[in-house]
Amino acid sequence: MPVNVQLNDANFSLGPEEGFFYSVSSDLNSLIQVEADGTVVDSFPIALSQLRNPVKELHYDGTFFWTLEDLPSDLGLVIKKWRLFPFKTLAFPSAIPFEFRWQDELTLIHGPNIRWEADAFAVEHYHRFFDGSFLAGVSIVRLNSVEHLNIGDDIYLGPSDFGGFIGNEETKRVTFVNTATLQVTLGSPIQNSYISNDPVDYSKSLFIFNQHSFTGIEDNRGTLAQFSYPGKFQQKVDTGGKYHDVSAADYDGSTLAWVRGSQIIQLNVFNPTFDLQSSLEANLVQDDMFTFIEVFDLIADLDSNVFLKLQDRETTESVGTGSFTTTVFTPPPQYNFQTQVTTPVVNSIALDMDTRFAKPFPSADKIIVATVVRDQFGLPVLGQSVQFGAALSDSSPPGTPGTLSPVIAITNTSGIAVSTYTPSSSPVNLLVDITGTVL
Amino acid sequence: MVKNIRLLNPNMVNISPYFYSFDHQTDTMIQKADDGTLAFAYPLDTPITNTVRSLEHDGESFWTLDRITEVTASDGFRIRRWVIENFVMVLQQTFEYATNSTDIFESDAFTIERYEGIVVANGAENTNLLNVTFDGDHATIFNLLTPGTNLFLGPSSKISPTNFTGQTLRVTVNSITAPNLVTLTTPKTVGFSSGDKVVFSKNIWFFNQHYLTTLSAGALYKASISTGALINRTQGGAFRDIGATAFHNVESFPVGTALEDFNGHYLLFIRTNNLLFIDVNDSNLPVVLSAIQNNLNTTATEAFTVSDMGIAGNTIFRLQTQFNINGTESTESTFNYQLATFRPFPTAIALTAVEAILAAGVGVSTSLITATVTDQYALPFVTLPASTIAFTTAGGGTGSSLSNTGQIPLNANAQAFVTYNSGPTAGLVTIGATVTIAT
Repeated sequence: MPVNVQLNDANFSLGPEEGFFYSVSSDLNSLIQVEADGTVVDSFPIALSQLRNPVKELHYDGTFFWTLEDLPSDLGLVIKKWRLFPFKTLAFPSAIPFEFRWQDELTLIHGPNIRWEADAFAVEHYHRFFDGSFLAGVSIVRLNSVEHLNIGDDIYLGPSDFGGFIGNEETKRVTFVNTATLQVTLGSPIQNSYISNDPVDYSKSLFIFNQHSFTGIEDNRGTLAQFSYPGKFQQKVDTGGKYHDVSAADYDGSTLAWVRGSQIIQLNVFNPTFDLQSSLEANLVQDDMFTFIEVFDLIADLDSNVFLKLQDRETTESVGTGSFTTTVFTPPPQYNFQTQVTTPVVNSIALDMDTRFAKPFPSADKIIVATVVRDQFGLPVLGQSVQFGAALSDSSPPGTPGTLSPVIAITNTSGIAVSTYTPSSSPVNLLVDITGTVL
Repeated sequence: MVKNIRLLNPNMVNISPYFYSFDHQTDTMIQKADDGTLAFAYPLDTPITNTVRSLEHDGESFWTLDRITEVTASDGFRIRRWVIENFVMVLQQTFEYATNSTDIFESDAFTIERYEGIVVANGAENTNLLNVTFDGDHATIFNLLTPGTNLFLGPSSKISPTNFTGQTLRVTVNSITAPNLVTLTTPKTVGFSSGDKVVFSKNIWFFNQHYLTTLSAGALYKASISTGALINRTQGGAFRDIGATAFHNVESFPVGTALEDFNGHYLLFIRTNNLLFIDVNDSNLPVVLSAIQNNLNTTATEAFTVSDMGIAGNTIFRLQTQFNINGTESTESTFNYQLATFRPFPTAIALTAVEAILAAGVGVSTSLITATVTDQYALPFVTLPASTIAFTTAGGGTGSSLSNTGQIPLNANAQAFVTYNSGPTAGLVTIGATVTIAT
């Protein structure tokens, strides 16, 4: 059984230590740190707040963790901001984090015009780097990018890799951004020194996928609401069914990605029309071929062309038979992640035929069989070898199936490979299954 | 077992090579290959709460029918038009047929009267002229292009001087000039090449369980494609208890046969185990053809419900949960298709014997055996060259015989004759016949 992180709680994220996953455990009342095989290597008890309900989603923005919970008594929901505490600073260079400390929260209580109900949110955050070494005491630093950075923003510098400041972090407020030189003027001199590629992070807003629109009732219309951070005022709202029943979301680069049904949908949030960037079929159907698999949390790592989907079951395809099998992770509740690549791969093979009834040989009847091969984005796949086959259906009378020629064909720019079926000679009606298999 | 597309809902439309279905539980339109593999899914921008009972595609838009009240069919229903925009199924129009003092609206089956043709000249952009031609009865169809009719053009294959490949355009008819010139209300903003597709929809047709408010008579209703307003109602017992209907240009009838004249556009619907053909351009709405379907149980006492139907070329996909495949019945928990075809195939051989009882004895008595072969339309199965039939006997008295046991060509009435000769001793004889379809 292809298990990995083996979490008991339906939330996960990356975190400050590369190669590990993090999850908020309701049973332990802690943030736990696990290896990719599920080994728990550390835990950080919750401090300064308490969980009222299970954490539905967990995100990490490079400095802070963020969680989504329902409020008790059906009051609404709350997004909380947390940090591993204490962290190293110039004043406390030996600090070692031992708790998961509450920092701030955005509380959304049902109002006369809105019902708040969400399973997914995302943090608009940006991960930058120092472009060069900068010594303690300077107020102007240069980053690899200052996109979406504005005057008044708080940025989080470090951990430093500069000798004598190893692991130190600090927070600064931006007073000027030079978009030409990528230089950032800070409100006060930096306390630590940094070397090139030391991280700089900042967050700008929160996106919440609400089940309902601003009608004051549970209308199931779906709304994407964007709240500025730290201002916490609602700065954008877009309503539509594509935001309804969203079970997991994440933000990476300038892309907001979310899971709805079987699809992972991507949106460039800076597109003023909010037109979707893409939609991909994410292998989220059970082996009954119609029940969707729920994704409880999502990690988007678009630089690596991959999504990590946290699920309590997964469907796999047998290479030999092509049959699908859904495995529920046991013992429940257990959650593991399944990967979904964003590089195009073959996702579906559909057969098209000019007719499905043909007279037997030696009639001149033939069936033109076209295999349409598409990727997870629904786009044609070029240059794919397809092997055609014909076999008697289970419900067919005995006989010999006809033949296909060619047996192997290559898909064209439309993703189509074509073969021709010639029926066999038969005194009775045969039922024949014609298949196309991507090699 | 019949498991192919495995749909959860009783609605389906085929746009080769894919099958589409609306799911109200997840507010999604799913796109499947015919083995049930999910190829893609489109979120609905507007939630639907009730089961979609019928799904149609008019070349541009998807159309759905769902009840106003899920459990009370006689409250009425809605017909809605949707289009795919930016990976989302976007609602365009809703026509609500709520039961009132004039009509009890109760229907599970509707279709869109649509016609398809091609651009033959004046396809270029920036002109409001367009020359088109339609398959089959061009003149009749062309005259349906009344002012205000919307034409859907494309996808374009025009690449020069501006590349419009893949683009589509919705335009409106201002006037027509025989034999094929259409003047549009505005110049085209997209250019098209000769041969590019032109489709237009004319009317909505639905089968109502009631004529006006009568409880026992069915009716076929015609409504405006643009406003949904009722145009007329036609009472008929054959229009009651209809679960599946479609509109299609049938072009499958062979030249030189009695069926040749039946090629054309039809409103098709399944009642019990017959596929009936209505010519909607005849004001009397005559049923001009009927094709028997193989949706009877093994004892021929029950017709399995057909919930919806799709058509691709000469193939009919009947959406069912119960099946009889070669005498084996099965019931599925999901909706799957069973195939049928417009192509005529022999479905019955009627044998008559005159005399039916012969005396045995020294003097030979004879009986004229006549075989009449009919297709699914109950018409003589006539082919060019002629198909043949061979007679066989089982039992019979000593010395009895057939005059010809070889292959006998069917005549112009799809009949063949042999003589059965009795022998000196009495015995019960069974005479059989097997058709061999001409090559």
